[in-house]
Amino acid sequence: MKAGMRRWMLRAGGVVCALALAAVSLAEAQQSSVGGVVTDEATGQPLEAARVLLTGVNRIEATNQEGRYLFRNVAPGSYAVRVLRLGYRPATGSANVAPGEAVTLDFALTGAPVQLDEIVTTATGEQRKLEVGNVVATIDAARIAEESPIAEFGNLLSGRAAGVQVQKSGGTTGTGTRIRIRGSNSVSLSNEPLYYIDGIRMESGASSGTLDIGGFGQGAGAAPSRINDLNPEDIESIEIVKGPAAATLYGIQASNGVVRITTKRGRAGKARWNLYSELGAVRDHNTYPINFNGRDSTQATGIDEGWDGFCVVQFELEGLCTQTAVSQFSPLDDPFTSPLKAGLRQQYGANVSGGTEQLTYYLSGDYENEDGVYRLPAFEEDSVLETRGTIPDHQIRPNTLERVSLRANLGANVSSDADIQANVGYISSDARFVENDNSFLTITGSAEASGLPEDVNRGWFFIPAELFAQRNTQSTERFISGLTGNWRPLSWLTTRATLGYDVTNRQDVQFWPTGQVADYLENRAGLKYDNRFQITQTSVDLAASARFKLSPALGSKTSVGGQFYRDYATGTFTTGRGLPAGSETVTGAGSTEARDTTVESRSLGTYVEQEFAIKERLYVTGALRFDDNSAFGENFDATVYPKASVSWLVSEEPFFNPDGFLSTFRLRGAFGVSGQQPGTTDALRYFTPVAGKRGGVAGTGITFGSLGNQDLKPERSREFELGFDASILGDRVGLEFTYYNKRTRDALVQRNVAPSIGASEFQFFNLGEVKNYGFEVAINTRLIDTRSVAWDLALSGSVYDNELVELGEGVEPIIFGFGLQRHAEGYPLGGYWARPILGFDDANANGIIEVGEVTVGDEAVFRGRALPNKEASLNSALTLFDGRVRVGTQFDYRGGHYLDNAIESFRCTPVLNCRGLVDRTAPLDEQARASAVLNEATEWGYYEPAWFIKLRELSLTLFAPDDWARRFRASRLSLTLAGRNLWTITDYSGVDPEVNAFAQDNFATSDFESQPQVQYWTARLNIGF
Amino acid sequence: MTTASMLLVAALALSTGCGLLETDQPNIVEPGDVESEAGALALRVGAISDFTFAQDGDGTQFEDGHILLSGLMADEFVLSTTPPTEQEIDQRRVFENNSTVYDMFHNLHRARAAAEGAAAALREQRAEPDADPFIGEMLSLAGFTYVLFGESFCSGVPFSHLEGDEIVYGAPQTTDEMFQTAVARFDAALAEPGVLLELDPESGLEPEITYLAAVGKGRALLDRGLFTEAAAAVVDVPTDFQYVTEHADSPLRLQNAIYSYSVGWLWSVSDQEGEVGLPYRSADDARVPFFDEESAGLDNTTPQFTLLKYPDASASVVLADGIEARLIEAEAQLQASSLGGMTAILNDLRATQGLDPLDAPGTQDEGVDQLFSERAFWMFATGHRLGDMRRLIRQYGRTEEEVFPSGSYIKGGSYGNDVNLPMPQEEGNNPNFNGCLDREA
Repeated sequence: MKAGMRRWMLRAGGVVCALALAAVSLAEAQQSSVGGVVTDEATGQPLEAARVLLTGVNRIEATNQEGRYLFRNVAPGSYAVRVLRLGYRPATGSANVAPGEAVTLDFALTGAPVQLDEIVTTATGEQRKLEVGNVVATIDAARIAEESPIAEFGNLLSGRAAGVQVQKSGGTTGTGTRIRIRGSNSVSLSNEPLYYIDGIRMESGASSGTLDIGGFGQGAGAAPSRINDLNPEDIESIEIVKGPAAATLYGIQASNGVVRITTKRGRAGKARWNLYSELGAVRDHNTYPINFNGRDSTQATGIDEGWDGFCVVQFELEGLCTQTAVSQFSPLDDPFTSPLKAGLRQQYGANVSGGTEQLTYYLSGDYENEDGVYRLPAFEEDSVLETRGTIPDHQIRPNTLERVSLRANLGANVSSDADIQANVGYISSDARFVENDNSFLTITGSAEASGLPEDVNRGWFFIPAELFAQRNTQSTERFISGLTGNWRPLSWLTTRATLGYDVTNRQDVQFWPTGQVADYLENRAGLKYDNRFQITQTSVDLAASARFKLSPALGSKTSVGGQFYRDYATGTFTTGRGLPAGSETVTGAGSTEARDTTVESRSLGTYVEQEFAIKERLYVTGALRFDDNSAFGENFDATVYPKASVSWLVSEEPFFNPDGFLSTFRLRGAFGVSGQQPGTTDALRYFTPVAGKRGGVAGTGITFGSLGNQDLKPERSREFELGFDASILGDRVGLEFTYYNKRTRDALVQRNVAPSIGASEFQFFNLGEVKNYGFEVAINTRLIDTRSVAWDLALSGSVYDNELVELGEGVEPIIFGFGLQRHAEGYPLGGYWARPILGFDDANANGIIEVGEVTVGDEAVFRGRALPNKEASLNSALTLFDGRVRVGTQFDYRGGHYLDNAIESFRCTPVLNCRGLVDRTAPLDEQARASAVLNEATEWGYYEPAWFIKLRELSLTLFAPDDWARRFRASRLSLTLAGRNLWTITDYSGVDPEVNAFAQDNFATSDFESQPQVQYWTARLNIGF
Repeated sequence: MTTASMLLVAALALSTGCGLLETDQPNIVEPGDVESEAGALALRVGAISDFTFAQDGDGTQFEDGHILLSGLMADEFVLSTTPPTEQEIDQRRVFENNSTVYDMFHNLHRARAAAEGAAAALREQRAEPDADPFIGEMLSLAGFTYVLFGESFCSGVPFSHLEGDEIVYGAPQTTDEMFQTAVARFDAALAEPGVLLELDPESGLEPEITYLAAVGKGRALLDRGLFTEAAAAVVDVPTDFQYVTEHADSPLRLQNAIYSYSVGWLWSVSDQEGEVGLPYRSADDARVPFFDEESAGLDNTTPQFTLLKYPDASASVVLADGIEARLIEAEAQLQASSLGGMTAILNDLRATQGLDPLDAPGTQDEGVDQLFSERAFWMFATGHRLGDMRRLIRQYGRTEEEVFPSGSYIKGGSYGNDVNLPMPQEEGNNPNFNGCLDREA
C-alpha cells in the first residue's frame, strides 16, 4: 500500500512535470514590457501600492511611491491590464505588445467606497480574490495598527472577520489567545488555525509555557501564545482562509483554517521614515464579588470544638450555630488593600522603507513595555522595605512585558525575470507573570478568604507581598527568517521557491526566594524551576504555475508544488528545591531534578492544481494534494485531499447591467478536504523511563507509556461552501454571504482506555464524526460620503452549529474540565453538563431556601455549549473635517454559549462565603443554586448565559495639517487617542464573561480566579518623513 | 528552462520520501528494547515505582494515592483543601465521573499490570530465573493490588490485560474473588523457587519476600473472613519485619505524598469524625503524631492538624510488617473468643512503643472495638482503615452508621452512604463492564 501510493504520486508528478517540460521547449520569450503610472483621478496624485495585474499570465506588480509599475519580459500578444486598490474602483486597460516593445499604459482611478476585488495570496501564489471560489477575509493590518488600540497580534484579528473568534483568556499582561475559525472541528486535536508568515510556517503554540502559575495543570494559567510575539506594526496585511474548502492545498493541519501574515515591504522610491510613540495606561475597571462572612460570636459552631468557624444560614437552621454577624468585604475592591492599580504601557518604534527598482528595503525597530495591573499596595511595600531594606522590582510590579522587535525585509530584482525577497524578524521578549486561575497563590484566589480589613492579613489569605515575591518569567529570543525566490523563465511560467526557518529559544523560570514567599508547601524553603527550550520550524516550499491561452475565451493555469516541513523541539527541565537564603541557582539546591524532551514531526506534500478561466469571468479550479507524515501509523500510507471551486463573475456577463441595483455580483462555491495529523508519538506503543527506589537505592526503571495505534491516519475534514459577493447602490454597499458545511470524519478521538487494562490513559483512534455548518455575513458600506465627512461601517457576523455526530461504537462520553464538560454524541463538542435544578420552592415561606426545598435531577443533562456559536462585530470609521479627524469604534458581540461561574460556586462550597449561603436577604434563586451546589454537588445553577456586547475599541485620530507637519520637517503627523475594552453589556453575573481559567485549552472553559479583561487607554503619535 | 524543469522534478521527487519522514524519538523506549535481562530488571524497578505511586502518591499533588484517598473516605483524614472530587470522597458521596477516583483506579491497575508484566519478563529474560527472588516480589506486589482493589472499591472490578497487541478485557470479580486472586498471587510468590523460605545461614539473608507474601496473604485471608488461615499464614513472620515502599526528596515522583499533603495543609488528621470516628487526636497516641496548626487548612474552613508520622518527603511507608502479622494473630484470638489472648498480643506490641497496656475487654463486642482501634492506630495512614471499616460491617455485623462518619459534614451538607468507591465511568470502555455489582461493604 505504502509503496503503491508513493509510486502513484511519483507518476502523477512525473506526468505534470513532463507536460511542463514539453511546453517549455515550445516557447521562447522576447524582452518586451508593459508599464505606466497609476494616479488618483480627482487629485492627480500618484497612487502607491496599487496592484496591477497582467491578466492571462497572472503577473502582479505593485506601484511604487511615484505610482509607477512595470512588467518586464512580457511575451508579445494582447493583454488586459487590471488595476486594483483599496478605496478605488478597479480599472482595466488593454495592451498589445509587439516583440521588443515597451508599452505604456497609465490609469487614473476613481474613488469607490466599497471594493470587492483585491489581490490575495493562495497556496499557489497571488491571485485576484474574485477568481478564487472561496471566501478569503483580508485585514488591513497596517492601518489598524496605526489607528486602533492594538496591544498585541490577537487584537488585529479580533472582530474583523466573520467566523473568526479571538478568545483572550484573561487580562493578565502577556497572556494568550484562543482562536477559532468556524468553530471547533476536532474532538481531541488542536482546533487552532495554521499560521504562515511571508509564506513560511511559523511556530504558533497557543499555550506556550511550562510555568506552573495556576490554571489547571502546568503550562495553563496565564500562558502566552506565540502568535503574540509578532509586532503588529510590522504587519502589512492578514488573510484568513477559513476551512478545508479553501485550505486543501496547505495540506494536513490546515483543516482549522489558515492565517497568512504578510509583513511590510519596501517600494521603490526615496527613503520613507515612520516614527511612532505610544503611551498609555492599563487599568482594571472591574468590580469584584463581595465575600459574605457569616460569623457566630459564641464560637459554638458544633462542627469542631474551639473552632471559630463560619455560620451560614443553613448551618443555623440545622442548629449548628447562630449567625450573629455578617460582614462584607473584598480586598480587591478596597483601594487600600487592592493590588490592582493602573500600569504603564509604552511603545516606541521606527521604520524606514524605500529602495530602487533593483533593491527595496523595509527596516524596523520597536520597543514595547507594558506593566500589568498588579502593583504591590503601598503599605505592604513599606512593610517589606522596613523588614528587608530593599524590595526587588518584580515584587512591586509582578506582571510586565518587555519586547524588542527588529525586522529587515529586503527585495531584489536580480534580473528582468527573477526576484528575491529575504525577510528576517528578530524578537526578544521578557515577560513576568503572576499566578492566576486556580491557586491560593493567586491574587483572586487569596482575595476569596473571608477575612476583614482589620485582620492581620487585611482580608487576604496570603498577602500580596508574599504572592508577589514569587518570580515567574518567560524569556524568548526568536528569529523568523524566510527567503523567497520568484523566477519567470518564460512569460507563461512562474516558479517560486521559499525557504523558511523559525527558531524560538525560550526560558521559563519560576523562583520562590527562600523565606520570602507564601508559606505554602515547601515553597518557602526556596524553589526554582528553570526550563529551557528550542523550538524550530523548517519550511521548504517549491511551486510552479504555467498559464496558457488555450483559446481566446479559455485560459488555463496549471500549478504544481511540493512542501516539506520539519517541526523540532527540544527542552530541558531542571528543578532545585531547598535553596540557601540569597541563592537563586538550581546548582545550590538541596535536591535537584532534571529531565529532557525531544519532539519531532516531519511532513511532505505535493499538489497539482488546474484552473480554467472562461472568458475571464468563470473560473473553475480542481486540485489534488498528497501528504505523508512521520506521525502516521505504520499501517497507513500517504493521504490524498481533493478540492474544486467555481467562481462566476456574473456582473462581467454581457447581460448584466452594472448601473443597476447591483454593481458587482459574483457567485462562488468551493469544496475541499483537509486534515489533521496525529501527535508525534500517538501511533507508537512504547515505554517511558520512571524513577524508582528499592533497597535504599534510587534507580530508573521503565513503565508503560502508551498503547499506540499503528492504524492511525489523519482525520479528514471535508467542507463545501457557497456564497456570493455583491456591491450595490453604486458600489456604496458591499455584501458578502457564505454558507458552509463541514464534516470531519475519521476524527481522531483520544479515547479513554478502560483503566482495568493497566496501560495508558488514552489511545487515539480514527472514530468520530463532527459536523459544523453555519452562515457568515459581511456588509461594508459608506453611509456618508461627502467631501468633508465620510462614515464607513463594516458589520460582520456569523452563526454556526456544531455537533458530535459520532464518537465511536462503545466509546463512553469524554468528560473533562473537572467533570463538567463533555464530548457526547448528538451534542456540541465540549458542552456543559450537570444534574439539573428542576425547581425550588420556599415551602415554609421563611424566605430561606432550605435543604430539601431544591429539587435536583438524578442524571446529568446538557446545559449549553461552552464556546460561543454566534459572533458579530460592528466597526465604524467616521472621518470628519476633510479627513483631518477620524473616529473609530468597534463593538464586539459573542453569544449562544454559557460560562461556568465556577468562582461563585467555589465561594459557596467549600469556601462558604457566597451571598446565596450567608445573606438571608439573597434572592431565592441565588439561594437555590447555592443550596444545590452545597447539598447536591451540582454546578447547574452556575452555568450562566455568557453573551456579551463590548465596546472593544474607541479611537480618535487627529491628522495634523500639512503645514503643521512641515514645521517638524515631517510629511505626515497624527495623534491617536484610543481605548480598549471600555464597556460591557451582559447578563452574566460574574466579573467578566470573557475569561477562561483553562487558558487556551482546546475546549475546557471556566471562570475561576482569572484576571478579567482590562482596559487600555493610549495616546499615540505618528510622524512620517 | 533546464533549471525550471529540474526544480519541478526535485519538488516531486521529494514526495517519494527518501527518508525525509524519519524522526528520532529519544524520549520513548520501544518494546523491543525491553526484551532483555536488563529490560526485565528495568521493568521491575518500574513496577515498584508504579506500585509506590499508586499506594502512596507522589509529590506533584496532581494525583492522590490509595492511602490518602482511602483514609479520606474512612475516618483517618478530613479534607482541608478544596477540590470537589476529593470532597466527594471525604463526604462519602462519590459519583462515577469523579476524576480523582479514576486516577486511583487507573494507577492501581497500572501497578498491577506492571508487577505482573515484570514477573513474566523476569521469568523469561533472567539467566537463572529459578534463583531470582524478584519474581516472587513482583507477584507479591501484584497480590497487594488485588487486596487494595477489594478493600477500597465496590464489588465487580474487572482485571484486563494485554496479550501482544490485543487487549483481553477482564470480567468483573466480586469482592471475595478479588481477595481469592490476591491469595493466588501470594501463593505463587511463595512457590517461586528463587524466594528464600527461611533465613539463609550462609549469606545471612532474610526471607524478606516470603514474609511480604505471607503478610499479604494473611491480609487477604482476613478480608475473606478466614481468620485461622490468616493467622497461620503469618505465624513465621517476625515482629520486626518490614517491607516498605521507599521515597526520596527528588524527583517529585519519589516523594512521599502523605507527607506532602500533610505539610501542604491539604489533609488534616480527624478526630471522631462524623461522631463515630476514632479519636485519633484526642487519644494523644504516639502512633498518630500530629501538630495543631491553630489555623485553617487551605480551604480556609477546616482546622488543620498536620500528621507528623511521615517526617519528610523521603519517609518510607510500610506495606507489610510484623506488627500487622501480630494483629492478624490477635484477630484470630478474637474470633476464637480468646479476648485475653488477643489483648496479650496487643499489649506485647504496645510495649515495643512504651505504650500502657490495655485491659482485657469484658465482652466480645468490646474486644472488636479494642482490636480495630489498635489496628487503626498501629496502621494509621497505611491504607488499611477503609478495609477494616468495611470488615466491621461485613464480618462483625456493625451498621454503616456505627462505623462510618455520618450526619452533618464540616463544609456543609451531610455525609452520604458510600462505604466504598465506585468504579470510574471510563471503565465503561470495557465491553464486559456493567458497573458495580453492588455497593455493599
